[in-house]
Amino acid sequence: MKIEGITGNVAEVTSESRLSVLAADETRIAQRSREKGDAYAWSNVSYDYVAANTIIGIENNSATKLLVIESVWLYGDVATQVKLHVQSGVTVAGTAITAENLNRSSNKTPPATAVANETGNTVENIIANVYIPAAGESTFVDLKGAVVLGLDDFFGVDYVTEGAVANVTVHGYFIAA
Amino acid sequence: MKITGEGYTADVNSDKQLTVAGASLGSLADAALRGDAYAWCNVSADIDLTDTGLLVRNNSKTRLLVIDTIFLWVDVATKVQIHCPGPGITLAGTVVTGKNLNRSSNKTADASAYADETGNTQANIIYNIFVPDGSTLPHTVVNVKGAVVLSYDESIAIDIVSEPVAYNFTVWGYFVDAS
Repeated sequence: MKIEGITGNVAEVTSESRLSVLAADETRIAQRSREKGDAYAWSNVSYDYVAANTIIGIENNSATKLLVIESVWLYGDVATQVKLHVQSGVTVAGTAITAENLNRSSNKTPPATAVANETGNTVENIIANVYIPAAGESTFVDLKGAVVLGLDDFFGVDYVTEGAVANVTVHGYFIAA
Repeated sequence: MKITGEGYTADVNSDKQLTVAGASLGSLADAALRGDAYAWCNVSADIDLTDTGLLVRNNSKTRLLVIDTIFLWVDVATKVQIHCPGPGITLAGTVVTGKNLNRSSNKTADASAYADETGNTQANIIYNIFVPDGSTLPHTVVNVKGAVVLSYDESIAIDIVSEPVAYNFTVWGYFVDAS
């Protein structure tokens, strides 16, 4: 059996017994953004925070979709440990954050609740302890799409040391559960 | 034979390549969707120079533990030695529990992990990494890219050469079936 393309060319199999392909690859978040309008950014408005504060908390409210956390950008005016953590069943409370759809031609909104200065959670299930410098540049943490939240699961970003400025941006996308 | 779908026909270019479009999903993310990806994080402690800050051992006889990423932070500038000390260790130290990266999964890691681990002897160094004084500088990311593969009773260990007062290590890894 040979594979023939629409233009009449026939695909090659190499001497290593591999079908020769030309692949246009995109990341999962790019695919979900482009095809489905299901990728979002959550960014807090900077505020003067106390020690051990949850700068951003995001909860998945969908029973039919998983929320996959792709990456986090962190900035603060003081050097601090940052705890990335996950849990379930949080009564979310704080300053509401409106998600931005990364596909600007989509009018979808995410089935998620996001707040800054979240006060309903208690830090547990730390999945990464990272450290950011005082001011300077932001620190990027690539979560590689490995943090997966089901219904009522929560992702939090805590700054340990008190500061006057904190900006966190989280990128994530939804897929069918 | 032509490949068709949704009313379209796939193309083969003049280089005889079938043209395809794909969305890439990293192995760690793929494993997380199965509930097979975990994070191990120590609680910071004042340990001695040359101590093992964190060790993670695969306890599964049927699955491999693949190490994807390591985050390092120490409050002093120091060399960090990442090594695989081999099987047969009687582990001892402060227990570290793996956290499933998929919160909708109730699976637990078939692994043992300890901070300030005292049972191993350093051997088979796979990384010598120098990290800065963490009091003002950020963590160091070691992108292992899934290249470290641990079979049953094999471990990965992270040693701090200089004396710290505080440190935090995070290891991300996932399980795959041993072929």
